[in-house]
Amino acid sequence: MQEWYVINSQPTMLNGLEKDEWDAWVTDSFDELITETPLRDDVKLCRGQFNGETGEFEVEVETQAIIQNRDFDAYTQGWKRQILTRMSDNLAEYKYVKATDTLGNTQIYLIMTMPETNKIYTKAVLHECNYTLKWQDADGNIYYYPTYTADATQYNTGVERNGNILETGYIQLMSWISLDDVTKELYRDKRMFIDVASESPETYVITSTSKVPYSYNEMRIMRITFTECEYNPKTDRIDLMLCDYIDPNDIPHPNPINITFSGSPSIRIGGRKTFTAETENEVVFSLVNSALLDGKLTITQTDNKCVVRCANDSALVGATFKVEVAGGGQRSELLVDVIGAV
Amino acid sequence: MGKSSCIRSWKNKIVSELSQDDEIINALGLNLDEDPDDLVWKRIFCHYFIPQTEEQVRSYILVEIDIPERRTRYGSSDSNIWVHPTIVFYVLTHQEDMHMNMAGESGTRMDYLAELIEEKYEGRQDFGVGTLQLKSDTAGSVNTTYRFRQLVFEAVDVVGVCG
Repeated sequence: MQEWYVINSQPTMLNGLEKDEWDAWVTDSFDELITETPLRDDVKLCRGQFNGETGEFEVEVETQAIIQNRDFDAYTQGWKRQILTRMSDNLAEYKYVKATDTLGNTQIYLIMTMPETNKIYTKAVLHECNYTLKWQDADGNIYYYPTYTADATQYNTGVERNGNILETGYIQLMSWISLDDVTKELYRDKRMFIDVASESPETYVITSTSKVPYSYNEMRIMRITFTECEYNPKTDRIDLMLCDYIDPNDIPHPNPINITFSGSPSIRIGGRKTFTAETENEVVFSLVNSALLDGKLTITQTDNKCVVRCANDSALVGATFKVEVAGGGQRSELLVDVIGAV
Repeated sequence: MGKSSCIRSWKNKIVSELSQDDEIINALGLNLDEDPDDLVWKRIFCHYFIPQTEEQVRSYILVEIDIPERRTRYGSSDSNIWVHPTIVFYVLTHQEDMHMNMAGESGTRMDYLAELIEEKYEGRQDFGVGTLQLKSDTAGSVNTTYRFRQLVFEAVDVVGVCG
């Protein structure tokens, strides 16, 4: 911090335009506040899929902000913050904020409210993410989502008695999570590990979701309620922290369309080649080629066959292009070499 | 570009045209295991070719281009401008393949193919600067098995462009 400084000179003082006066004295002063004073926090505004391996979101934009409520008065406030940003940072376009904590570690905060502006700055409520949920979809894709997860049953016994015969764990957790195209598909019965223990982590199952009340009509956040459930050693993988593990190798992939042709996958300049899609579905052929081959190839499709003709131009020898065929939800491609006419 | 570059470019052009001419492909009488898209070096050759085996009963089209000796090397400067490349086609047919069972056509396969080639190239004006002209169409034998029909076309081109 400088021992003294003069607030930025305000060249609009004399023009008499109120908007310029406002921008110069208010907006600009806030900008200076988060740029040049100790109130400044260097943060990253984040959105997109979170990579649990690298700890990075698809989009992370570095900027400055003020993080408020760092000096909370009760332990129940310890994870709650507010963020003030420049209006020009468009905070509403982001779902998470990365900021540095007292230990110098990067913490991820979930933006809990729809960011709004008071004409001076943009403000939103943040909750510190304390757990990253991890699960697979039906195709075996793994998702990581930082969440603020809270205790929903802190005053009960944590067990449920069934006629003195069986005692089962009965803990409930609430997780607040970004609402997006992936999480909106989460429903009851989805199981996940939620624990910091690595030897015998607790397993939970989604028993309710609340997608609309906290969406702000903008796909903002959702709440998930988890209830403790039994560990299934046959399907749960503690080593991967994935319940109901789906081995991607076990997922049957539809056979790609087989493209057949005579001889080698090549076409002579001035020649033609017939390609056949071996499928009963309706297909559409297309070509993908470099600029060199623009206007030099023609394609004629009849049913599931296509004839590609190549111009008689020696300069094309050595070029390649792709024959693509799509149909019935499947797609295949074939790399074809252009060779000399003789 | 070399002075004889028209030899390669014209051969490319002719081979390309022949291999995409459905009438000629049909007249060649392909076997079931042959690919109509892939006849170059199999049925259509851009050089003189004599089949090694006489067991395969097939017909072939061969094309060769020559640039004959300049007729007026030391003649008038006016005559020195022109060259007359010849395009020679051979329709080479196994004598067992002469019989052509094609609806609407009567004749030997060799003669029919030669006729299609003549129709395709006689009078063409895109080889050199003049008109392509059939100079001769003669039959002959390579050996005791293969017969041929030779078609000689003469083109006109400008020295420095082709010859």
